[in-house]
Amino acid sequence: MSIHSTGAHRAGPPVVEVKGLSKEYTTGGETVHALRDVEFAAESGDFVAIHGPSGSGKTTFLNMLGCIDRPTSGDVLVYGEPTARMSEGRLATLRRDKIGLVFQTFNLIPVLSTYENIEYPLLLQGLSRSRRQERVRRLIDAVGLDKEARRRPSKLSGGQRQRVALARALVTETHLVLADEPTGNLDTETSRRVMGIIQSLNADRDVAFVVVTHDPMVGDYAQRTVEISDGTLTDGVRPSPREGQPCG
Amino acid sequence: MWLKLALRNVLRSPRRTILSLVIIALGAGMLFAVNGFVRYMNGRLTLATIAQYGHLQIADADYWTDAEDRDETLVDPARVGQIAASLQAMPNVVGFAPQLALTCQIQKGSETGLLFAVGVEPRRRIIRSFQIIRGEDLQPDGTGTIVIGRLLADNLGVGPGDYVTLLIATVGGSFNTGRLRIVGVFSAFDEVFENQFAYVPIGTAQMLLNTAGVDKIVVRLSDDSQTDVAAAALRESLDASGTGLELRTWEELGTEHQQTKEMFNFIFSAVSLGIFVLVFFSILEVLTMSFMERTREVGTIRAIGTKRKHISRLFLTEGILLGLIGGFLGIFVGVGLGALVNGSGIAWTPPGAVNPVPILVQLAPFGAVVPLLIAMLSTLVSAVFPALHASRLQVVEALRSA
Amino acid sequence: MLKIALRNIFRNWRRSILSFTLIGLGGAILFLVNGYIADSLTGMEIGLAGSFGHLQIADTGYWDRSEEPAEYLLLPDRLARLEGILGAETDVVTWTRELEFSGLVGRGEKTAMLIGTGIEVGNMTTDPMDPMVSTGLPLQAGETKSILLGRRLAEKLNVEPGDRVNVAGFTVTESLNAMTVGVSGAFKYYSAQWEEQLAFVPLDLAQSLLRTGGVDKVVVRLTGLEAVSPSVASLQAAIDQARLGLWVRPWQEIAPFYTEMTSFYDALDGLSTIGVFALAFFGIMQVLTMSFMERTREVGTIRAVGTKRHQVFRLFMTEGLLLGVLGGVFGVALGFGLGAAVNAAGLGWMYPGAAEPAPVGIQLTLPNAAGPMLVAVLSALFSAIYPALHAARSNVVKALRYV
Repeated sequence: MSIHSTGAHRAGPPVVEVKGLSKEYTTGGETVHALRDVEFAAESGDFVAIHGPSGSGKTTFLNMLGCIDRPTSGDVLVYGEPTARMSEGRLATLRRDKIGLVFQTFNLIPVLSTYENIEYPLLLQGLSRSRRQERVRRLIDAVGLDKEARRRPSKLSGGQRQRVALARALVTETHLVLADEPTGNLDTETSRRVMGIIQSLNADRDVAFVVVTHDPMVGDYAQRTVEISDGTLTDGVRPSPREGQPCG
Repeated sequence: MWLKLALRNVLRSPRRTILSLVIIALGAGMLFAVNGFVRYMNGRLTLATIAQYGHLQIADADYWTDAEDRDETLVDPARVGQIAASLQAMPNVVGFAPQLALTCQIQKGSETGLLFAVGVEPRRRIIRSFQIIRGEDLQPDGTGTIVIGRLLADNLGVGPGDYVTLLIATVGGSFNTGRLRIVGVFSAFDEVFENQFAYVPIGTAQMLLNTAGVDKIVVRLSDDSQTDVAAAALRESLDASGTGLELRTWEELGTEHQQTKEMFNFIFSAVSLGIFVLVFFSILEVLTMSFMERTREVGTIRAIGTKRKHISRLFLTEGILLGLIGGFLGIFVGVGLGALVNGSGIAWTPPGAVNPVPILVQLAPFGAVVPLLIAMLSTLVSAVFPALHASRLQVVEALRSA
Repeated sequence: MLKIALRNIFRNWRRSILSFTLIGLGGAILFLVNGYIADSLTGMEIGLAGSFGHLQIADTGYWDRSEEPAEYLLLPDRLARLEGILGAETDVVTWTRELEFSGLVGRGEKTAMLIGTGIEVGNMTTDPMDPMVSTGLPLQAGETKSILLGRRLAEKLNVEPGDRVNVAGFTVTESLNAMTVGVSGAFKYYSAQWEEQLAFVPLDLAQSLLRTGGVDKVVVRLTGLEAVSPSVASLQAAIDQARLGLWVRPWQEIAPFYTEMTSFYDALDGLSTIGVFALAFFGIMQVLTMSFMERTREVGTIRAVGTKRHQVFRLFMTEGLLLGVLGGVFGVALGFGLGAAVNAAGLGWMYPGAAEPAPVGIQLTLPNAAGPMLVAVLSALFSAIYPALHAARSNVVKALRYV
């Protein structure tokens, strides 16, 4: 396990920052307060685990961070830019370039091979062939899926699929990756392996990982853990260094 | 890239793809076969019309409107000469000949019948809508000869070598008669034709009517498609020459044939509409379900940065590809259906015809265009709503679906 | 089981709507085609039987044109014996005598061919000519020297009611006879070509022109269209027994175009049925395949708790059947609606050779719905077979694992 200080690893604003964030929605006539006035920040290089039981609002929170849903009040700043007023088109571009997403159910495109799945965001960006090739290859190596480059997701194991997802999340060289229950569909052994990869990626690449989970094991890999329950975060902004780990 | 993705998506689920393609191919194929049939029938009709009327007919303006008595509308030799000169000069005129017709009664023994006797130039056969089945055709030097239709010949009980009397009405109720020798009997397509028409040398007709004039000049062109061009040119020169003559094209003359063509075209349009609608709803069904299945996938790629318009573009492309492949396959189906019909040798006797007409389907590449377009359009249009719907999904909702 | 099947069909309302629309449209199309054909044929039948009579009786030599008029004309004594037989026949309502002739009609310099029919004015065997008359009056009883011309014939000759024309024809003794008659009016006919040549005169005039006391045929009206076949048989038998040398012919044989139209319509009907069936068949198979596939896990579950294969098969087949039935009903309803709209629109079309547009109508009767219903149900049923079999045969474990 590598250690990172939680101070300014990079100059500039936090990779993602949340202020006064609230989210309400009405179902069946009742108003649900999914998030209540949440504050949070992560710097590049951070590895944060957001831990909470089901129904605590953690997925909603991640949706806010990932700009795939809009808050009822408050704002989400990505790389310092406020997003609450951005058009859907701009948000899509933001997600494409600046944010990587990893899902519990892997969510790969079934008709594309490993290589092509990872390549997809670069195609959206319109990169040249040689540059795409270079980056995809690098990531395939980084997640160790050389031999599976041409296989389609249906022919991969759960762990392999998640690795593809990770590679896809990182291919645009973002500094922020959000993962929703990445180990949810994996057995313990595979979970550990995947978490290990995440950890090394986090270390090598100056990328902030925010992982939402109810699996306590994940917390072992993260630098800090934030608890969420009933729409409120504890230790959101002020990170406390992990016990027993020296800073710096 | 969208093309690759779209293509792979179309081929995603083999069973479903095959069924969809079968539906589109069937629809396109049926259209192709019907189209081929209609074009065949229309082609026959065109041939029949032109065989009956020639390409163009030139006569006095009042002849066409039946406004004046016969005397006033005859075209005298001088005018005939003028027209002949203009026609000779035209490059696409293959041949032309004068005609003079008379309504009369034909009599043999106590049997009589109505007759429309057409005086023609035996050397210059412009109208070719019959075949001589007994005896021979009119000869250039055959004054006083006649060829009659088979049904009429059978009714009167006459054949080549027999004599018949023609009775022509003139002013004031008196009649001119002429005794003619039958040299041949012809068979034709139409019952009425075989029963009521006959041909005599034009000189004989002129003698019977006591005139040197003719009713009209019938013109044959080198190509059917030249008709409008030639007609326009001729109309100009006719108007300029001030001869009081007017031209009619075969399309204007063959009204019954035109009506039949219109009927066939209508049938084709109706069938096209029916098939379009059925294919549309089938594919709409398929695409809606198929797109719905991919809701989570759509949510994912939206989440990682794909824009709404990309989504709709992707799905529409899938629709187009489906239609294109299905339509293309449909051509084969159509050719197969057409070959089946052609090989079966079924025939149909249209109302008023003497012999059955074989039912054939014209299998030409040109005929594939419209059916293909209709199949593709139907598929494309049915993809629109599902595509728009998919692009408008809320990302979060989409991610949540199974 | 029926209840479950029914609920399953409506599970996904959007898909149900689409499925029903597909079958419904197919059914509606067939209903409209059938309805149009039925309407057209019924119209034709009534019209033709009305103008040509249910039966016509004439000398065999007249029908096959093998004899001269002198031989085939029905002279008074033969006619009387025929009329005796007709009077004795129960289904015969009334009859009339006709005499045809061909000749020329002219006015001033203009002459034209003429096919004339001498009729008994005021006889009710055939439909009265009043609706067909376009100018002037139909023939009047008591006015022997008058003629009713086809409209185009009248136009060709440029005559108006009241004008006088010459009519010429050959008598039975091969001499020529001509008469001057007054034009009573002009009539419209269904065929443009015949409208240019036909005319009607009083029977007495025709007989005078041809110098005969005979007629060439007797036209008979029966109680109804159903009486035609039996009457033909019994009348023919009586006639043969009396050695009259006459031939009884039903209207279908006499009316022009009837057989050609029916065979055309049969082809149209057959082809559209096949076409719709094929498209509906594959379309529904499509839907059922997908729908059943979605429920793979559910099938696995109910098999796991003890449902047998053949029960699963029956369940899915029932759904297919219901889909066909409900869709068919929807289709017929849709067909009724569209048909009513078409009827209300009052469309007409000029069929080839028509003198006037013929009305386009859809016959809206329940028997016409039988065919479309059958096609809807059968196509749904047959297309359900393969998907149902496949679902029934699936492996339980695999099915449970299906996501």
